[in-house]
Amino acid sequence: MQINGVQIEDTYAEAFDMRATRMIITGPDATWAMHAAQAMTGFATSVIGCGCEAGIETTLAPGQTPDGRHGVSVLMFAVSSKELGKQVSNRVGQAVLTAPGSAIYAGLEGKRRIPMGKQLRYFGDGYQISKVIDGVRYWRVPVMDGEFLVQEDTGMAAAVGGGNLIFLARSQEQALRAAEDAVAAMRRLPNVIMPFPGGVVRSGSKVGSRYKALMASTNDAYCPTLRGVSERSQLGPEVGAVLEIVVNGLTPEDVSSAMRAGAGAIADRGADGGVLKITAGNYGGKLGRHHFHLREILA
Amino acid sequence: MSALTLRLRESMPAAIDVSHLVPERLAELGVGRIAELPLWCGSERLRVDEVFEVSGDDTESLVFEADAPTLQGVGYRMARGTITVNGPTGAYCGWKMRGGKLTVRGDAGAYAASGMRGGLLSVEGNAGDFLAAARPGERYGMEGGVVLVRGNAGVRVGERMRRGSVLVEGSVADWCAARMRAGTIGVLGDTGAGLGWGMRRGTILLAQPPELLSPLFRENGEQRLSFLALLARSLESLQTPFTDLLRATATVRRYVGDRSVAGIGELLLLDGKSLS
Repeated sequence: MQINGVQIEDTYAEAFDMRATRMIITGPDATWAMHAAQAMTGFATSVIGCGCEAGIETTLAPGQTPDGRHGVSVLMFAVSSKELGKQVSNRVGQAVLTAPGSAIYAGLEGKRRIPMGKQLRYFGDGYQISKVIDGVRYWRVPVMDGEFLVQEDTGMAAAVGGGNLIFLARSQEQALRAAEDAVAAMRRLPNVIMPFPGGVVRSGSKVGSRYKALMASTNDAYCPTLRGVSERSQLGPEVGAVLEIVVNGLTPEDVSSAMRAGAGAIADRGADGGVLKITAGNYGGKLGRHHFHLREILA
Repeated sequence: MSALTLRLRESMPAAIDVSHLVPERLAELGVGRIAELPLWCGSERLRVDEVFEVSGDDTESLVFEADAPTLQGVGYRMARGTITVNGPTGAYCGWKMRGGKLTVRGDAGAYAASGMRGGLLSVEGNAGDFLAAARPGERYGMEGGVVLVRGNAGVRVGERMRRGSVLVEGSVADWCAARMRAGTIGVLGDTGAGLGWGMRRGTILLAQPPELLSPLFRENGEQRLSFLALLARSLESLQTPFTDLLRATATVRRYVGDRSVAGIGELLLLDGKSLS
Protein backbone atom coordinates (compact mmCIF):
# COMPACT_ATOMS: atom_id res chain seq x y z
CA MET A 1 0.00 0.00 0.00
CA GLN A 2 1.29 3.41 -0.96
CA ILE A 3 -0.10 6.91 -0.45
CA ASN A 4 1.59 9.81 -2.25
CA GLY A 5 4.60 7.56 -2.84
CA VAL A 6 4.83 6.84 0.91
CA GLN A 7 4.89 3.16 1.73
CA ILE A 8 2.42 2.06 4.43
CA GLU A 9 3.79 -1.02 6.12
CA ASP A 10 1.42 -3.89 6.84
CA THR A 11 1.75 -3.78 10.59
CA TYR A 12 -0.03 -2.47 13.65
CA ALA A 13 0.46 -0.32 16.69
CA GLU A 14 -0.02 -2.18 19.94
CA ALA A 15 -1.68 -0.18 22.70
CA PHE A 16 -2.51 -0.83 26.33
CA ASP A 17 -5.32 -0.33 28.78
CA MET A 18 -4.72 2.65 31.01
CA ARG A 19 -6.68 4.76 33.47
CA ALA A 20 -7.29 8.39 32.60
CA THR A 21 -8.87 11.57 33.82
CA ARG A 22 -9.54 14.99 32.38
CA MET A 23 -9.13 18.16 34.42
CA ILE A 24 -10.07 21.74 33.57
CA ILE A 25 -7.58 24.33 34.79
CA THR A 26 -8.67 27.96 34.78
CA GLY A 27 -6.72 31.13 35.43
CA PRO A 28 -7.04 34.89 35.52
CA ASP A 29 -6.13 34.96 31.82
CA ALA A 30 -5.20 32.52 29.08
CA THR A 31 -1.45 32.89 29.74
CA TRP A 32 -1.63 32.00 33.42
CA ALA A 33 -4.04 29.14 32.86
CA MET A 34 -1.53 27.80 30.34
CA HIS A 35 1.41 28.22 32.77
CA ALA A 36 -0.42 26.04 35.28
CA ALA A 37 -1.36 23.45 32.65
CA GLN A 38 2.16 23.28 31.28
CA ALA A 39 3.66 22.84 34.71
CA MET A 40 1.14 20.14 35.54
CA THR A 41 1.73 18.18 32.35
CA GLY A 42 5.49 18.75 32.34
CA PHE A 43 7.79 15.74 32.71
CA ALA A 44 4.89 13.42 31.95
CA THR A 45 6.07 11.79 28.72
CA SER A 46 6.11 8.16 29.75
CA VAL A 47 4.81 6.12 32.68
CA ILE A 48 8.18 4.39 32.84
CA GLY A 49 9.98 7.33 34.37
CA CYS A 50 7.33 9.95 35.05
CA GLY A 51 4.55 8.01 36.76
CA CYS A 52 1.99 9.23 34.26
CA GLU A 53 1.54 10.50 30.74
CA ALA A 54 -0.16 13.84 30.48
CA GLY A 55 -0.75 16.57 28.00
CA ILE A 56 -2.84 19.54 27.06
CA GLU A 57 -5.95 18.51 25.17
CA THR A 58 -7.17 21.97 24.20
CA THR A 59 -7.57 25.53 25.37
CA LEU A 60 -11.01 26.68 26.48
CA ALA A 61 -12.68 30.07 26.03
CA PRO A 62 -14.25 31.68 29.11
CA GLY A 63 -17.71 30.51 28.00
CA GLN A 64 -16.57 26.88 28.09
CA THR A 65 -15.22 26.70 31.64
CA PRO A 66 -17.09 26.16 34.92
CA ASP A 67 -16.10 29.52 36.40
CA GLY A 68 -16.24 31.58 33.21
CA ARG A 69 -12.49 32.26 33.06
CA HIS A 70 -9.91 31.22 30.47
CA GLY A 71 -9.07 27.56 30.78
CA VAL A 72 -7.06 24.62 29.59
CA SER A 73 -8.25 21.05 29.38
CA VAL A 74 -5.66 18.49 30.48
CA LEU A 75 -5.68 14.69 30.10
CA MET A 76 -3.66 12.46 32.40
CA PHE A 77 -3.05 8.73 31.94
CA ALA A 78 -1.52 6.17 34.32
CA VAL A 79 -1.26 2.41 34.55
CA SER A 80 -3.60 2.05 37.54
CA SER A 81 -6.21 4.04 39.41
CA LYS A 82 -3.95 4.13 42.44
CA GLU A 83 -1.03 5.57 40.51
CA LEU A 84 -3.33 8.02 38.74
CA GLY A 85 -4.63 9.24 42.09
CA LYS A 86 -1.09 9.75 43.34
CA GLN A 87 -0.08 11.67 40.23
CA VAL A 88 -3.20 13.86 40.27
CA SER A 89 -2.67 14.82 43.91
CA ASN A 90 1.05 15.47 43.45
CA ARG A 91 0.75 17.42 40.25
CA VAL A 92 -2.27 19.50 41.23
CA GLY A 93 -0.52 20.25 44.51
CA GLN A 94 2.81 21.21 43.03
CA ALA A 95 1.78 22.79 39.74
CA VAL A 96 -1.77 24.13 39.93
CA LEU A 97 -2.13 25.11 43.59
CA THR A 98 1.11 27.02 43.16
CA ALA A 99 0.14 28.89 39.99
CA PRO A 100 -1.22 32.42 40.58
CA GLY A 101 -4.98 32.76 40.25
CA SER A 102 -5.59 29.16 39.26
CA ALA A 103 -8.56 26.87 39.91
CA ILE A 104 -9.11 23.27 38.85
CA TYR A 105 -12.24 21.25 38.13
CA ALA A 106 -13.13 17.72 37.06
CA GLY A 107 -13.40 17.31 33.31
CA LEU A 108 -14.86 13.80 33.36
CA GLU A 109 -18.07 12.58 34.93
CA GLY A 110 -18.52 9.04 36.13
CA LYS A 111 -18.89 7.07 39.31
CA ARG A 112 -15.26 6.09 39.68
CA ARG A 113 -13.52 9.09 41.20
CA ILE A 114 -9.94 10.17 41.74
CA PRO A 115 -9.34 12.47 44.72
CA MET A 116 -8.25 15.97 43.74
CA GLY A 117 -9.06 18.54 46.44
CA LYS A 118 -9.84 15.81 48.95
CA GLN A 119 -6.26 15.70 50.21
CA LEU A 120 -5.05 19.11 49.02
CA ARG A 121 -7.55 20.93 51.19
CA TYR A 122 -5.38 20.21 54.23
CA PHE A 123 -2.92 22.73 52.87
CA GLY A 124 -5.49 25.23 54.16
CA ASP A 125 -4.49 24.32 57.74
CA GLY A 126 -8.07 24.47 58.99
CA TYR A 127 -8.91 27.70 57.17
CA GLN A 128 -10.11 25.80 54.07
CA ILE A 129 -13.78 26.19 53.23
CA SER A 130 -16.01 23.55 51.68
CA LYS A 131 -18.79 24.58 49.31
CA VAL A 132 -21.27 22.10 47.88
CA ILE A 133 -22.81 23.54 44.72
CA ASP A 134 -25.32 21.43 42.77
CA GLY A 135 -24.23 18.38 44.72
CA VAL A 136 -20.54 18.84 43.87
CA ARG A 137 -18.05 19.62 46.61
CA TYR A 138 -15.43 22.28 46.05
CA TRP A 139 -12.67 23.38 48.40
CA ARG A 140 -11.60 26.97 48.83
CA VAL A 141 -8.04 26.95 50.09
CA PRO A 142 -6.60 30.28 51.24
CA VAL A 143 -3.39 31.17 49.37
CA MET A 144 -1.29 34.32 49.16
CA ASP A 145 -3.15 35.81 46.17
CA GLY A 146 -6.65 34.91 47.33
CA GLU A 147 -8.25 31.49 47.14
CA PHE A 148 -7.38 28.30 45.32
CA LEU A 149 -10.63 26.68 44.23
CA VAL A 150 -10.39 22.93 43.69
CA GLN A 151 -13.08 20.33 43.11
CA GLU A 152 -13.17 17.46 45.60
CA ASP A 153 -12.47 14.79 42.99
CA THR A 154 -12.41 14.07 39.28
CA GLY A 155 -13.88 11.26 37.21
CA MET A 156 -11.79 8.35 36.01
CA ALA A 157 -12.24 6.41 32.80
CA ALA A 158 -10.73 3.30 31.24
CA ALA A 159 -8.51 4.56 28.44
CA VAL A 160 -5.96 3.51 25.86
CA GLY A 161 -2.28 4.41 25.83
CA GLY A 162 0.51 3.67 23.41
CA GLY A 163 -1.04 4.19 20.00
CA ASN A 164 1.85 5.15 17.74
CA LEU A 165 3.14 6.05 14.32
CA ILE A 166 6.75 5.55 13.27
CA PHE A 167 7.88 7.17 10.07
CA LEU A 168 11.07 7.11 8.03
CA ALA A 169 12.35 10.09 6.03
CA ARG A 170 15.35 11.01 3.94
CA SER A 171 16.61 13.60 6.40
CA GLN A 172 16.07 14.64 9.98
CA GLU A 173 14.61 17.94 8.86
CA GLN A 174 12.11 16.26 6.54
CA ALA A 175 11.12 13.84 9.31
CA LEU A 176 10.61 16.75 11.69
CA ARG A 177 8.44 18.71 9.23
CA ALA A 178 6.23 15.67 8.70
CA ALA A 179 6.02 15.17 12.48
CA GLU A 180 4.93 18.77 13.00
CA ASP A 181 2.17 18.37 10.43
CA ALA A 182 0.99 15.14 12.03
CA VAL A 183 0.93 16.51 15.56
CA ALA A 184 -0.94 19.62 14.41
CA ALA A 185 -3.58 17.44 12.74
CA MET A 186 -3.89 15.17 15.78
CA ARG A 187 -4.18 18.05 18.24
CA ARG A 188 -7.31 19.22 16.49
CA LEU A 189 -9.07 16.09 17.74
CA PRO A 190 -10.67 15.76 21.18
CA ASN A 191 -9.93 13.10 23.81
CA VAL A 192 -6.29 12.51 22.84
CA ILE A 193 -2.85 13.71 23.86
CA MET A 194 0.60 13.18 22.41
CA PRO A 195 2.69 13.13 25.61
CA PHE A 196 6.24 13.54 24.24
CA PRO A 197 8.03 16.87 23.63
CA GLY A 198 6.09 18.68 20.92
CA GLY A 199 4.17 15.44 20.56
CA VAL A 200 7.19 13.66 19.06
CA VAL A 201 9.67 11.07 20.39
CA ARG A 202 13.00 10.30 18.75
CA SER A 203 14.25 7.70 21.20
CA GLY A 204 12.03 4.77 20.33
CA SER A 205 12.85 1.76 22.50
CA LYS A 206 12.81 -2.00 22.29
CA VAL A 207 12.13 -4.40 25.13
CA GLY A 208 15.31 -5.61 26.88
CA SER A 209 18.96 -4.65 26.81
CA ARG A 210 22.35 -6.24 26.89
CA TYR A 211 22.64 -4.67 30.38
CA LYS A 212 20.75 -6.84 32.86
CA ALA A 213 19.50 -3.91 34.90
CA LEU A 214 17.73 -2.25 31.98
CA MET A 215 14.22 -3.25 30.91
CA ALA A 216 14.32 -1.27 27.69
CA SER A 217 16.97 0.14 25.41
CA THR A 218 17.34 2.02 22.14
CA ASN A 219 15.48 0.68 19.15
CA ASP A 220 18.61 -0.17 17.14
CA ALA A 221 16.52 -1.38 14.21
CA TYR A 222 15.62 2.24 13.43
CA CYS A 223 18.82 4.08 14.39
CA PRO A 224 20.47 5.45 11.24
CA THR A 225 23.90 5.36 12.85
CA LEU A 226 23.54 1.61 13.42
CA ARG A 227 22.82 0.78 9.79
CA GLY A 228 25.27 -1.93 8.83
CA VAL A 229 26.21 -2.37 12.48
CA SER A 230 23.10 -3.82 14.12
CA GLU A 231 21.82 -7.07 12.68
CA ARG A 232 18.28 -5.88 13.30
CA SER A 233 18.62 -2.68 11.27
CA GLN A 234 15.54 -2.00 9.16
CA LEU A 235 16.96 1.03 7.40
CA GLY A 236 18.01 1.17 3.81
CA PRO A 237 20.70 3.60 2.59
CA GLU A 238 18.10 6.28 1.70
CA VAL A 239 16.81 6.71 5.30
CA GLY A 240 18.23 9.69 7.18
CA ALA A 241 16.02 9.80 10.25
CA VAL A 242 13.09 8.06 11.97
CA LEU A 243 10.61 9.69 14.36
CA GLU A 244 7.68 8.39 16.36
CA ILE A 245 4.45 9.93 17.61
CA VAL A 246 2.80 8.28 20.61
CA VAL A 247 -0.89 8.93 21.21
CA ASN A 248 -3.07 8.20 24.24
CA GLY A 249 -6.84 8.51 24.07
CA LEU A 250 -9.95 7.98 26.13
CA THR A 251 -11.27 5.25 23.80
CA PRO A 252 -9.77 2.99 21.07
CA GLU A 253 -11.81 5.00 18.54
CA ASP A 254 -10.16 8.24 19.68
CA VAL A 255 -6.70 6.72 19.27
CA SER A 256 -7.57 5.30 15.89
CA SER A 257 -8.97 8.66 14.65
CA ALA A 258 -5.86 10.44 15.83
CA MET A 259 -3.59 7.90 14.15
CA ARG A 260 -5.59 8.31 10.93
CA ALA A 261 -5.24 12.11 11.07
CA GLY A 262 -1.53 11.89 11.87
CA ALA A 263 -0.68 9.28 9.27
CA GLY A 264 -2.74 11.22 6.73
CA ALA A 265 -0.76 14.40 7.40
CA ILE A 266 2.53 12.55 7.15
CA ALA A 267 1.50 10.92 3.87
CA ASP A 268 0.42 14.34 2.58
CA ARG A 269 4.08 15.39 2.75
CA GLY A 270 4.61 12.55 0.32
CA ALA A 271 7.70 11.10 -1.24
CA ASP A 272 8.46 14.59 -2.59
CA GLY A 273 8.62 15.84 1.00
CA GLY A 274 11.19 13.18 1.79
CA VAL A 275 8.88 10.77 3.63
CA LEU A 276 9.61 7.16 2.72
CA LYS A 277 7.53 4.93 4.91
CA ILE A 278 5.03 4.86 7.76
CA THR A 279 5.14 1.95 10.18
CA ALA A 280 4.11 1.32 13.76
CA GLY A 281 5.49 -0.24 16.93
CA ASN A 282 4.30 -3.45 18.52
CA TYR A 283 5.53 -6.22 20.76
CA GLY A 284 4.20 -9.13 18.77
CA GLY A 285 0.71 -8.54 20.09
CA LYS A 286 1.31 -10.21 23.44
CA LEU A 287 1.45 -7.18 25.71
CA GLY A 288 -1.36 -4.90 24.64
CA ARG A 289 -5.03 -5.62 24.04
CA HIS A 290 -5.54 -2.94 21.39
CA HIS A 291 -4.11 -3.40 17.90
CA PHE A 292 -4.36 -0.57 15.40
CA HIS A 293 -3.58 -1.85 11.91
CA LEU A 294 -2.20 0.94 9.74
CA ARG A 295 -3.70 -0.27 6.48
CA GLU A 296 -7.15 -0.64 8.05
CA ILE A 297 -6.97 2.80 9.61
CA LEU A 298 -5.91 4.42 6.34
CA ALA A 299 -8.21 2.36 4.11
CA MET B 1 -52.15 11.98 32.46
CA SER B 2 -53.13 15.04 34.44
CA ALA B 3 -51.71 16.18 37.74
CA LEU B 4 -53.18 14.50 40.81
CA THR B 5 -55.10 17.39 42.35
CA LEU B 6 -56.38 17.62 45.92
CA ARG B 7 -58.72 20.55 46.38
CA LEU B 8 -59.63 21.47 49.95
CA ARG B 9 -63.42 21.08 50.32
CA GLU B 10 -63.77 23.65 53.09
CA SER B 11 -61.53 25.47 55.52
CA MET B 12 -60.74 23.36 58.54
CA PRO B 13 -60.22 24.87 61.97
CA ALA B 14 -57.30 22.52 62.71
CA ALA B 15 -54.07 21.78 60.88
CA ILE B 16 -54.29 19.02 58.27
CA ASP B 17 -51.30 16.70 58.28
CA VAL B 18 -50.53 15.92 54.63
CA SER B 19 -46.96 14.78 55.26
CA HIS B 20 -47.64 11.30 53.85
CA LEU B 21 -49.01 12.62 50.54
CA VAL B 22 -45.80 12.70 48.49
CA PRO B 23 -45.22 11.37 44.94
CA GLU B 24 -43.12 8.30 45.71
CA ARG B 25 -45.51 7.01 48.37
CA LEU B 26 -48.63 7.67 46.30
CA ALA B 27 -47.09 5.95 43.28
CA GLU B 28 -46.65 2.76 45.31
CA LEU B 29 -50.26 2.93 46.38
CA GLY B 30 -51.95 3.59 43.05
CA VAL B 31 -54.41 6.35 42.29
CA GLY B 32 -57.53 4.40 43.30
CA ARG B 33 -56.61 4.00 46.94
CA ILE B 34 -55.57 7.59 47.62
CA ALA B 35 -59.13 8.71 48.42
CA GLU B 36 -59.42 6.26 51.32
CA LEU B 37 -56.08 7.13 52.95
CA PRO B 38 -56.37 8.34 56.52
CA LEU B 39 -55.77 11.99 57.21
CA TRP B 40 -55.33 13.66 60.58
CA CYS B 41 -57.06 17.00 61.04
CA GLY B 42 -56.10 18.14 64.49
CA SER B 43 -57.00 15.17 66.68
CA GLU B 44 -59.63 13.84 64.29
CA ARG B 45 -58.93 10.99 61.90
CA LEU B 46 -60.65 11.47 58.53
CA ARG B 47 -60.25 10.12 55.00
CA VAL B 48 -58.52 12.03 52.21
CA ASP B 49 -61.77 12.30 50.22
CA GLU B 50 -63.58 13.72 53.24
CA VAL B 51 -61.22 16.66 53.27
CA PHE B 52 -60.19 17.00 49.61
CA GLU B 53 -61.84 16.63 46.25
CA VAL B 54 -59.48 14.28 44.44
CA SER B 55 -58.99 14.44 40.66
CA GLY B 56 -56.29 13.62 38.15
CA ASP B 57 -54.02 10.59 38.10
CA ASP B 58 -50.35 11.61 37.77
CA THR B 59 -48.85 10.87 41.17
CA GLU B 60 -45.50 12.33 40.07
CA SER B 61 -47.13 15.73 39.84
CA LEU B 62 -49.22 16.50 42.88
CA VAL B 63 -51.25 19.71 43.30
CA PHE B 64 -52.88 20.99 46.48
CA GLU B 65 -55.55 23.67 46.17
CA ALA B 66 -55.96 25.41 49.51
CA ASP B 67 -57.04 28.90 50.50
CA ALA B 68 -55.98 28.77 54.16
CA PRO B 69 -52.60 27.94 55.71
CA THR B 70 -53.81 24.70 57.25
CA LEU B 71 -51.81 22.10 55.32
CA GLN B 72 -48.99 20.92 57.51
CA GLY B 73 -45.88 19.00 56.48
CA VAL B 74 -46.36 19.37 52.73
CA GLY B 75 -43.62 17.40 50.94
CA TYR B 76 -42.29 15.72 54.08
CA ARG B 77 -39.26 13.61 53.04
CA MET B 78 -40.31 13.87 49.38
CA ALA B 79 -37.59 12.47 47.11
CA ARG B 80 -38.85 13.02 43.57
CA GLY B 81 -41.58 14.48 41.40
CA THR B 82 -43.25 17.83 41.94
CA ILE B 83 -45.70 19.17 44.48
CA THR B 84 -47.42 22.48 43.86
CA VAL B 85 -49.53 24.22 46.46
CA ASN B 86 -51.88 26.80 44.98
CA GLY B 87 -52.32 28.85 48.11
CA PRO B 88 -50.57 29.17 51.46
CA THR B 89 -49.19 26.32 53.56
CA GLY B 90 -48.91 25.79 57.27
CA ALA B 91 -45.80 24.80 59.15
CA TYR B 92 -43.12 22.29 58.15
CA CYS B 93 -43.45 22.60 54.42
CA GLY B 94 -40.52 20.76 52.78
CA TRP B 95 -39.52 19.25 56.12
CA LYS B 96 -36.68 16.76 55.56
CA MET B 97 -37.29 16.99 51.82
CA ARG B 98 -34.71 14.97 49.84
CA GLY B 99 -35.37 15.72 46.18
CA GLY B 100 -37.88 16.85 43.59
CA LYS B 101 -39.49 20.24 43.41
CA LEU B 102 -41.94 21.78 45.85
CA THR B 103 -43.60 25.06 44.87
CA VAL B 104 -45.80 27.12 47.15
CA ARG B 105 -47.84 29.72 45.29
CA GLY B 106 -48.51 31.64 48.46
CA ASP B 107 -46.95 32.05 51.90
CA ALA B 108 -45.23 29.21 53.75
CA GLY B 109 -45.53 28.76 57.49
CA ALA B 110 -42.87 28.26 60.15
CA TYR B 111 -40.01 25.78 59.84
CA ALA B 112 -40.20 25.48 56.07
CA ALA B 113 -37.22 23.49 54.72
CA SER B 114 -36.18 22.45 58.19
CA GLY B 115 -33.93 19.41 57.91
CA MET B 116 -34.18 19.60 54.12
CA ARG B 117 -31.46 17.59 52.35
CA GLY B 118 -32.05 18.02 48.64
CA GLY B 119 -34.35 19.28 45.91
CA LEU B 120 -35.83 22.71 45.38
CA LEU B 121 -38.37 24.49 47.56
CA SER B 122 -39.76 27.59 45.93
CA VAL B 123 -41.99 29.92 47.93
CA GLU B 124 -43.64 32.59 45.82
CA GLY B 125 -44.98 34.52 48.80
CA ASN B 126 -43.36 35.02 52.18
CA ALA B 127 -41.83 32.39 54.43
CA GLY B 128 -42.54 32.30 58.16
CA ASP B 129 -40.11 32.09 61.05
CA PHE B 130 -37.37 29.44 61.30
CA LEU B 131 -36.98 28.97 57.55
CA ALA B 132 -34.34 26.23 57.05
CA ALA B 133 -33.67 26.32 60.79
CA ALA B 134 -33.15 23.49 63.26
CA ARG B 135 -36.13 22.47 65.34
CA PRO B 136 -35.60 22.72 69.11
CA GLY B 137 -33.31 19.90 70.20
CA GLU B 138 -32.10 19.16 66.69
CA ARG B 139 -28.44 19.52 65.90
CA TYR B 140 -28.78 20.99 62.42
CA GLY B 141 -31.23 22.94 60.32
CA MET B 142 -31.21 22.58 56.56
CA GLU B 143 -28.65 20.05 55.26
CA GLY B 144 -28.85 20.41 51.48
CA GLY B 145 -30.91 21.52 48.50
CA VAL B 146 -32.05 24.99 47.48
CA VAL B 147 -34.76 27.23 48.94
CA LEU B 148 -35.93 30.26 47.01
CA VAL B 149 -38.30 32.73 48.67
CA ARG B 150 -39.65 35.51 46.43
CA GLY B 151 -40.99 37.50 49.38
CA ASN B 152 -39.73 38.03 52.92
CA ALA B 153 -38.81 35.55 55.64
CA GLY B 154 -39.22 35.68 59.41
CA VAL B 155 -36.79 35.32 62.29
CA ARG B 156 -33.92 32.84 62.54
CA VAL B 157 -33.56 32.03 58.86
CA GLY B 158 -31.02 29.21 58.53
CA GLU B 159 -30.36 28.83 62.22
CA ARG B 160 -27.88 25.96 62.67
CA MET B 161 -28.04 25.27 58.95
CA ARG B 162 -25.17 23.14 57.66
CA ARG B 163 -25.44 22.78 53.86
CA GLY B 164 -27.47 23.98 50.87
CA SER B 165 -28.61 27.42 49.78
CA VAL B 166 -31.40 29.68 51.03
CA LEU B 167 -32.15 32.67 48.82
CA VAL B 168 -34.55 35.33 50.03
CA GLU B 169 -35.39 37.98 47.46
CA GLY B 170 -37.10 40.18 50.07
CA SER B 171 -36.00 40.92 53.62
CA VAL B 172 -35.36 38.74 56.64
CA ALA B 173 -36.09 39.42 60.30
CA ASP B 174 -33.72 39.10 63.26
CA TRP B 175 -31.16 36.37 63.93
CA CYS B 176 -30.65 35.36 60.34
CA ALA B 177 -27.83 32.78 60.03
CA ALA B 178 -27.54 32.49 63.79
CA ARG B 179 -25.27 29.62 64.83
CA MET B 180 -24.91 28.69 61.18
CA ARG B 181 -22.54 25.77 60.52
CA ALA B 182 -22.16 25.94 56.74
CA GLY B 183 -24.10 26.52 53.54
CA THR B 184 -25.19 29.72 51.85
CA ILE B 185 -27.86 32.28 52.72
CA GLY B 186 -28.57 35.14 50.33
CA VAL B 187 -30.75 38.15 51.09
CA LEU B 188 -31.55 40.95 48.66
CA GLY B 189 -33.48 43.11 51.15
CA ASP B 190 -32.90 44.14 54.76
CA THR B 191 -31.54 42.02 57.56
CA GLY B 192 -32.42 42.44 61.22
CA ALA B 193 -30.48 42.29 64.46
CA GLY B 194 -28.24 39.40 65.39
CA LEU B 195 -27.17 38.66 61.82
CA GLY B 196 -24.72 35.75 61.82
CA TRP B 197 -24.68 35.52 65.61
CA GLY B 198 -22.53 32.59 66.69
CA MET B 199 -21.91 31.65 63.07
CA ARG B 200 -19.00 29.20 62.63
CA ARG B 201 -18.83 28.68 58.90
CA GLY B 202 -20.94 29.31 55.83
CA THR B 203 -21.67 32.25 53.57
CA ILE B 204 -24.11 35.14 53.86
CA LEU B 205 -24.60 37.01 50.58
CA LEU B 206 -26.08 40.47 50.93
CA ALA B 207 -27.11 42.86 48.19
CA GLN B 208 -26.89 45.78 50.58
CA PRO B 209 -24.92 46.46 53.75
CA PRO B 210 -26.66 45.32 56.96
CA GLU B 211 -27.83 48.04 59.30
CA LEU B 212 -26.27 46.25 62.21
CA LEU B 213 -23.31 43.91 62.21
CA SER B 214 -21.57 42.55 65.26
CA PRO B 215 -18.04 43.96 65.67
CA LEU B 216 -16.99 40.34 65.99
CA PHE B 217 -17.33 40.09 62.22
CA ARG B 218 -13.91 41.27 61.10
CA GLU B 219 -13.31 43.39 58.03
CA ASN B 220 -11.54 41.17 55.52
CA GLY B 221 -11.25 43.60 52.60
CA GLU B 222 -12.15 43.38 48.97
CA GLN B 223 -11.96 39.86 47.53
CA ARG B 224 -12.33 38.21 44.16
CA LEU B 225 -13.85 34.78 44.78
CA SER B 226 -14.07 32.22 41.96
CA PHE B 227 -16.75 30.12 43.64
CA LEU B 228 -19.33 32.89 43.17
CA ALA B 229 -19.25 32.21 39.43
CA LEU B 230 -20.05 28.55 40.09
CA LEU B 231 -22.88 29.61 42.38
CA ALA B 232 -24.28 31.98 39.74
CA ARG B 233 -24.23 29.20 37.18
CA SER B 234 -26.03 26.80 39.50
CA LEU B 235 -28.84 29.33 40.02
CA GLU B 236 -29.38 30.05 36.32
CA SER B 237 -32.49 27.90 35.98
CA LEU B 238 -34.22 29.55 38.95
CA GLN B 239 -34.69 32.92 37.27
CA THR B 240 -33.82 34.91 40.31
CA PRO B 241 -32.16 38.35 40.47
CA PHE B 242 -29.37 36.66 42.48
CA THR B 243 -27.94 35.24 39.25
CA ASP B 244 -27.48 38.60 37.56
CA LEU B 245 -26.26 40.16 40.76
CA LEU B 246 -23.60 37.48 41.19
CA ARG B 247 -22.65 37.78 37.51
CA ALA B 248 -22.24 41.53 37.80
CA THR B 249 -20.09 41.22 40.89
CA ALA B 250 -16.37 41.16 40.23
CA THR B 251 -15.25 41.75 43.78
CA VAL B 252 -17.04 41.52 47.09
CA ARG B 253 -16.44 43.22 50.41
CA ARG B 254 -15.87 40.40 52.90
CA TYR B 255 -16.39 40.20 56.66
CA VAL B 256 -15.37 37.11 58.62
CA GLY B 257 -16.98 35.91 61.84
CA ASP B 258 -18.43 35.27 64.28
CA ARG B 259 -15.05 35.59 66.00
CA SER B 260 -16.68 35.22 69.43
CA VAL B 261 -16.89 31.52 68.61
CA ALA B 262 -13.69 31.53 66.48
CA GLY B 263 -15.95 31.28 63.44
CA ILE B 264 -14.69 31.67 59.88
CA GLY B 265 -18.09 32.21 58.35
CA GLU B 266 -18.25 34.98 55.79
CA LEU B 267 -20.55 37.85 55.00
CA LEU B 268 -20.14 39.04 51.43
CA LEU B 269 -21.44 42.41 50.29
CA LEU B 270 -22.20 41.96 46.63
CA ASP B 271 -22.35 45.66 45.84
CA GLY B 272 -18.69 45.94 46.79
CA LYS B 273 -19.40 48.83 49.16
CA SER B 274 -18.07 48.69 52.70
CA LEU B 275 -20.10 49.22 55.84
CA SER B 276 -20.64 52.88 56.49
